[in-house]
Amino acid sequence: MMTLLFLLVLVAMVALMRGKSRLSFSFFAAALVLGIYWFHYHATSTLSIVL
Amino acid sequence: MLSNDLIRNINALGVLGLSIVLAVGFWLQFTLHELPCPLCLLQRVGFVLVMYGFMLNVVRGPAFTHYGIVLLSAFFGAGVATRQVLLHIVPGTGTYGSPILGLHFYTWSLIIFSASILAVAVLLLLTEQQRPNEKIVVGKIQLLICWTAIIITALNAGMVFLECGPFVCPENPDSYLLLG
Repeated sequence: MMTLLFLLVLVAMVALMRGKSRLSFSFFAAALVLGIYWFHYHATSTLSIVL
Repeated sequence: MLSNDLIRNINALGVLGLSIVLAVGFWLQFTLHELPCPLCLLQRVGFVLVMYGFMLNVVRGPAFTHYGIVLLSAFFGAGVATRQVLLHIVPGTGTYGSPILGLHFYTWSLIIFSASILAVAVLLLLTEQQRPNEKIVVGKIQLLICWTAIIITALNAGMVFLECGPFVCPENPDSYLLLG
């Protein structure tokens, strides 16, 4: 699933180079949102600090 | 104010610098046989997202929207790096991976994401907003840098697929899933 994040940014970059800005921004947004989701999913360990 | 051409060159240097950071990550991964954990991979995603923001400035010209994209991406990466730093900040809680020049990769990540945010702040002070009909000509070296970044991103996608396949990456990976 993590591969998908890199693929989304890859498509965003290629779309940018091909001049397809709207498509490029869409893929960037999807990558960022999914990235935040996966960060939330993997941030499970308890921190050994008290704030 | 700096000229837009110079600002685009500075952004291209940012893309190049982050490509080198990712290449170093690759080099360490294969020479030290240390597989990146999910949080490490998310930091790499942060780097490619920041690279994408800088690339926008190179290819389409400097714009506030593009800097916004860099900032969102850098804050995402810094958040992930901070989480990993906090996991290991208390003595006795261990570390992940080998140190590079005395600091672990996640600490370097936090420094680099913070430097990106600082760089954007400085560039915003020096950038003149793009004029609507201004023609952008992407130079050969800028093109080369952008395509290098794209290749590095593709290599990362391939490497992560080798490590995790189409599944959720394990918290403490010890082998490449698709290589046995």
